[in-house]
This record gives sequence, C-alpha cells and structure tokens, in this order.
Amino acid sequence: MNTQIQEVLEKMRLVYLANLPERLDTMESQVHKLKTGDIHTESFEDLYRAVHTLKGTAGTYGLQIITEICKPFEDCLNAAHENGMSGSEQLENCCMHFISLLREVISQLEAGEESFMDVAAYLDDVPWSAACSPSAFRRSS
Amino acid sequence: MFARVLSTVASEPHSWPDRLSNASHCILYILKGINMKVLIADDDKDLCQLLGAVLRSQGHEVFFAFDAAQALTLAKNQSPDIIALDINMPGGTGMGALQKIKMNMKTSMIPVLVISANPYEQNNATMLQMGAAEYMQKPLDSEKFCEALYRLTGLPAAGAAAQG
Repeated sequence: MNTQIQEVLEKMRLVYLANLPERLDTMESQVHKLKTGDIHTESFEDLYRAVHTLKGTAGTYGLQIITEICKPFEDCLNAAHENGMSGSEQLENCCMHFISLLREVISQLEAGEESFMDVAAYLDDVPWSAACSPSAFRRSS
Repeated sequence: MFARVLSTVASEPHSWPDRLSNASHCILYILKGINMKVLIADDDKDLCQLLGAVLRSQGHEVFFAFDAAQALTLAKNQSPDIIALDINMPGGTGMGALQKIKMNMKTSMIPVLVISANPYEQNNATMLQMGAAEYMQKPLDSEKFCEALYRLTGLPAAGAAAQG
C-alpha cells in the first residue's frame, strides 16, 4: 500500500464528504422539477448525470457505500426513462427515498462510521426497496 | 531501478529490444527530473481533483480537460505521456475524442486509458477496438490507476528508482 496516496485520499475524502449534502440538495431540486413541463427532459438528464457521476466518483474517494446506493438509484432512473415514467410520481418518490438514504449514510460517515459491511443486505433491508427496484417501473403488458 | 531493468534484460534475452527501449525511456525521464505528464479528461471536477492530487503526490505533472475539445487541444499542445479519458463526458463526446486522438498523427501514439462508470463488459471490447490501451471501470482504485499508468507508459513506479 502506498502511504503517500492513502494520505492524499484521506485528506481529500473529508473535503468531498463535506460537500456532498449540497450536491444532494441540488439533486433534490432536480427531482422536484421532474414533473414541471418544458424543462422536464433537461432536469431528468441533469439528475441522471448527477447520480451517474456520484456513483463513479464516491467510490474513488473510498466511499464505496455511496457508490452502492447510486447503482440501484441509476438503474431506477434508467428503467423509468425507458418506460416513459421519468415524470411520474412513483419515480419522484423513489428518488426521494434514495436521496434520504444517501443523506443518512453521509451523516453516519461524518460521525465517523467506517464500516458498512454487507452493503447489499443493507439496501435489501430498506422497506421501500421493492417499490424502487427497476422492475417496479416496467409496465405490465 | 535501472539495475532492475538490466537484470531483467540479462535473464530474458528474448525481451532485449523492448527492455532496452524501456531502459532508455527511464533514463530520459530520470534526466528530465519528472515522472509522467498525464492528461486527465473528465467533466467530473471532483474526480480530476483527486486523481490530480494523487498523481502530483507521486511527482507527476497533470493537466485537466473537462470536455472533448479541450482534451484534443491539450493532447496536441502538451504531448502527454498518457491520457486518462472518460468516454461519458456530456454529449457523448468522449468516444469522439478517442477517435480523433487516434486519427491524429501528433497524438495517435499516446496511450489512452479509458475510464467510465459504465460496466466493463459493455465497453471494453469497443474501446480496445477503437485504439484504447486499456479500459478501467469507475469507481477507480487510485493505486491501481497509478499502476495502470506506469504499465501503459512503460515507466517504473514512483519510488522504484530509490529501490533499484
């Protein structure tokens, strides 16, 4: 293990973590715009990009739990988009669940929590997980 | 580090041409006093900031491009040793940038490490066909990212000179 790299990572992780609540505020306002007419597509793309970027970057900063939450979040956005439900209340609710889970995890990380063992189980235990799975957005034929 | 290269050359005679070329490459870099010139092309400024800090901590020179056009300009003007290119920059321009880098006489020989949050299976073969040297899926492991840069440029890892 390269200690120089680990030191840089630790320092930068704290700064990145401190900025995340603001990112989530932006995401939340994008979610609320999903149903508002003309700017709908743009808001969806902005939201999608924000989630996709968070998924890719958080883990690089060593915050793998955030990446793991963003994976199903992104899958839901994809599924809703493919099924013409990107402006639906269902997606809005689902996004808000993911965002509040991210907020909760971020505050735990800020409080010094380091271990998020068995991330998959953690996500499965969330009561709303079935309603937010990609299959929930597939229209029955 | 140089001693290590020479000992490898002696033990693997079939690899002499490559190894000797690598050795001369290493000497050039030791004389220049820098390790690598790296261009990171990614619209995610947080990621650029982190990778930039990591690479600078290892003594490398780093440039950033936040869109495809900037990536092409810096690739031509700065002649980096390697480019880390996100193919999912806004407007899907990363793939176009890869094509242009590979089709330009001045930049075609620069190894391109493609980085993306899309699944490896989905992109790897296409990227390699388009001339990428390697594909790495985000989130990146900083140390593995550095190792990939050393491997693709043929340069020894930072600190290897002291050990050699």
